[in-house]
Amino acid sequence: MNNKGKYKDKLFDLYSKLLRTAIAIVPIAESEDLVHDTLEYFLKREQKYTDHQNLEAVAIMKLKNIKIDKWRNKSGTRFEEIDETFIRDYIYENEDDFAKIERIIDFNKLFSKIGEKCKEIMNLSLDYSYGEISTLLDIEKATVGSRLSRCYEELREIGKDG
Amino acid sequence: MVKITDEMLYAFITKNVSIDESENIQNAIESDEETKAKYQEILNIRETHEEFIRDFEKKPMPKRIEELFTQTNSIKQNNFFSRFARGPLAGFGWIGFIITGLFVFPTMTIQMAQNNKTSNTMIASTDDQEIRFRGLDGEIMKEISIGELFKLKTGSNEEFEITISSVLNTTEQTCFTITINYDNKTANNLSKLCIDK
Repeated sequence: MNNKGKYKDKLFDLYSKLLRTAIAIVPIAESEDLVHDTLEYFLKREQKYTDHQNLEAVAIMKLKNIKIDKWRNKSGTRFEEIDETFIRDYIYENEDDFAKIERIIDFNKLFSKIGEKCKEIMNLSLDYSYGEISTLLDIEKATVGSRLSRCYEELREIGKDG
Repeated sequence: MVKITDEMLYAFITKNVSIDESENIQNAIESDEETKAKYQEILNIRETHEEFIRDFEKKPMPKRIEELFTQTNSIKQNNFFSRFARGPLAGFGWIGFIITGLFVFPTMTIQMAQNNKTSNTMIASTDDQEIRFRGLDGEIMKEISIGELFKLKTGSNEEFEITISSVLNTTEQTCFTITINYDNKTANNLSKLCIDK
């Protein structure tokens, strides 16, 4: 396979990771748009990034930068309602378990209120060990546990207040 | 008994504890109601979070993102030379187009002029060219009279005058007797020219 094909495959494989990062930093209804913009950016700049040593890292960094630029103009938007519609009509469009949908919507309301760093580390904890997260986020392994603990506590507190 | 902290419970749920720690935590959950309630609460949050993220990730890649990858293919294939690679017929078509263009382009000005005969900006005309090449309109004789004077010019601009002196018309031939005048002098001899019918 030629380099161009490899570059596109690498970007294609990054989709899930970019989506996971996007979920942590923007409302879930906007996450796919953010991934779209990021992938589009890199596909248009193939020559520049084709030989980049760490495409994944630079892509995640760019995704965060695009988010900063794009969401600057979106303050005041009622994302809670948009997210609810997105969850009902898109993620669970064929789901008959309405109790489950309500539970997920309630969780998302809480989840969207915690900090970006908490969302990111909680999402990572679904797939990675503490050791792997410490490498990915460049923090001590012991810090991973304590930070996760604080994030869950924050989530519970918001739930109690709400 | 070891005090079980929230951090230890999170580590237990996410399977980031050693076997010994795991046994201790498991025992604490089974023996202490408060620890059990806390564990259950954290576990519920964790399971809902995981369910939500997994369900979202199960959705197929959106069409508009898929199209990004196919669009870049079409951009790459859209250059001039790649058109030939799409199929031999397309290649022949383009070659034919180019060759036709090579023939048409040099005669374009003439064709334009021919289509604009009334225009003052006419550059050339195939009609004019035909007249010039033939160049005989003034010399075609419709009626020949005895003693009629014809003026001729050679290629080196020398002028001759020819006078028809007599015409003899038979069933087989038509004969002309002509006198040639050159530099205002009449030649002494008469020439006879006969054409078979």
